[in-house]
Amino acid sequence: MNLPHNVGTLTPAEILLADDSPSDVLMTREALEQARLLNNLHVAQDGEEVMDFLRQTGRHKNAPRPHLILLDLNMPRKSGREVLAEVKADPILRLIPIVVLTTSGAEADVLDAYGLHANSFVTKPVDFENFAQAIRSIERFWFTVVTLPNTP
Amino acid sequence: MIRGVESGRCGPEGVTEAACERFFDLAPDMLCVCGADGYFKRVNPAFHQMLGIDPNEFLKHSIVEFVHPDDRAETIAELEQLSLGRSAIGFKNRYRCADGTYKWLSWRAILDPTEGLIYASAHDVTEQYEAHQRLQALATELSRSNAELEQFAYVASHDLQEPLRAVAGCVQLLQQRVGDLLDGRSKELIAHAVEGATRMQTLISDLLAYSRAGSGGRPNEGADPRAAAERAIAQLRSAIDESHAVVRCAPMPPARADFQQLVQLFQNLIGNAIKFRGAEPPQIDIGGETRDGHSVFWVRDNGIGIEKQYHNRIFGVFQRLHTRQEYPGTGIGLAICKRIVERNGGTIWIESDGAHGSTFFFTLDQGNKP
Repeated sequence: MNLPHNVGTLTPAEILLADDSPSDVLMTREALEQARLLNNLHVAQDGEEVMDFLRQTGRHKNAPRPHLILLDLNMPRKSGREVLAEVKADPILRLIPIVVLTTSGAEADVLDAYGLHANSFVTKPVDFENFAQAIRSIERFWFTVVTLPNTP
Repeated sequence: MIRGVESGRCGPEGVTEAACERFFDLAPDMLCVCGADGYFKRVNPAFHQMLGIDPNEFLKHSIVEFVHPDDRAETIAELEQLSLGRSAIGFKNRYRCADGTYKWLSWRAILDPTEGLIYASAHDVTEQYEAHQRLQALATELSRSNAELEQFAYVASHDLQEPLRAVAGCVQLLQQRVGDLLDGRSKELIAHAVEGATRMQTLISDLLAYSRAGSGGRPNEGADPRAAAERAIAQLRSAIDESHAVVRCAPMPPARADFQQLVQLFQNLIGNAIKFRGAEPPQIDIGGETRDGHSVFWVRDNGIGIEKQYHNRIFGVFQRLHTRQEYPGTGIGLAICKRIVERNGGTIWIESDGAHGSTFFFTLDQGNKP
């Protein structure tokens, strides 16, 4: 089991990105590569795949437990919203912090996400510079400022 | 006037029986007498004129017979109330005509307990009722249409963001990766591509703001426009300080409007007054007064003014009179102002000779309508 305070320096941070937009995934990857944090980025393109990864089933049998989930709300099949509800209802999975990272900034969506116990909500900026800054801030906050829980 | 009354005459004691008979026959409304047993005893000619049914037919049937099935229970309940001594005013039900259609009738009735008879009069309100139904249908349709439009605007703006980010973001990344290898012209091309995408994003969020402007507001009877103007001024503090603007706010009459929308309205107008300034620091006067029972407000500036030929155009969506290099902005501000004012039941206009500043006026209801 990884000791939380080594994550990102001695051992890589396992980050699960749930997003069906290839361009957004690419930009997230670029932003994280530019970060000083040691990280492995895993990508799931729809809600079903996210749950497979988290439950270590299907083609994700050997998936590591992620330290952080970046979750887009608009995904095909199972939506980000459904994933959020399901993960936060699971006594073990809900310990993993979830940052909702999505296009919408609408009041209703924000309230809804926090109501379902999202740990935070970030509206994706449109241009790369701001987008990259947002990603780096998220990663810096969750891996250097915050203390993560020990999860089995 | 009725001529030739045969017996008796109309005197101060009241109308004679013959005159009553005349009125009974003449009345455009349906008049009738019913027994406490629920059967018609007497009906006037209007019954036949309105419903097309032979008057004698009525006398064979109970009152309820011709009433629309859905209205019968209520009619019976109303008759019970009458028998207990309460008079009926404005009770409505549907009566069947000879051709099978129904008319809406509004009744007045009272029981004479000594005679055991009910005296009743009915007025045909079918036209009003149908007009009301049409109005309700239109209102529902309008409401539905508005909701659809708002959803369309939301979805369209929302779904346009991701491909925009793909364009802007990836071109910027390209700029980062190979920028140094490019010549001046290529760098310029990339800069234009990025700027185009980011500008598109601003246009989309402005369109979204426009579609939401003036909607979902909670109109407040006697909202305080001066407080709204002062809030707007507070929010524009840095622009005011930067431009050394002098903003004066006079007392204002009340307005029936949503407070937040009023703030947005003032903020757009005052913001424009600051932005489109001339060589002098902006002098902005805000005030209002009561005219013809409405509240009229104004925002007056000493800026560059707007020529008469453009006075209508400026309220259009994304309409601008200058290039982006001259003055920033997408041209949505006044369109939003217009939408807010109109959705709160008012009108907005400008007075300007194109050289000595502009004054924007808008009206709003004062509320407290009877």
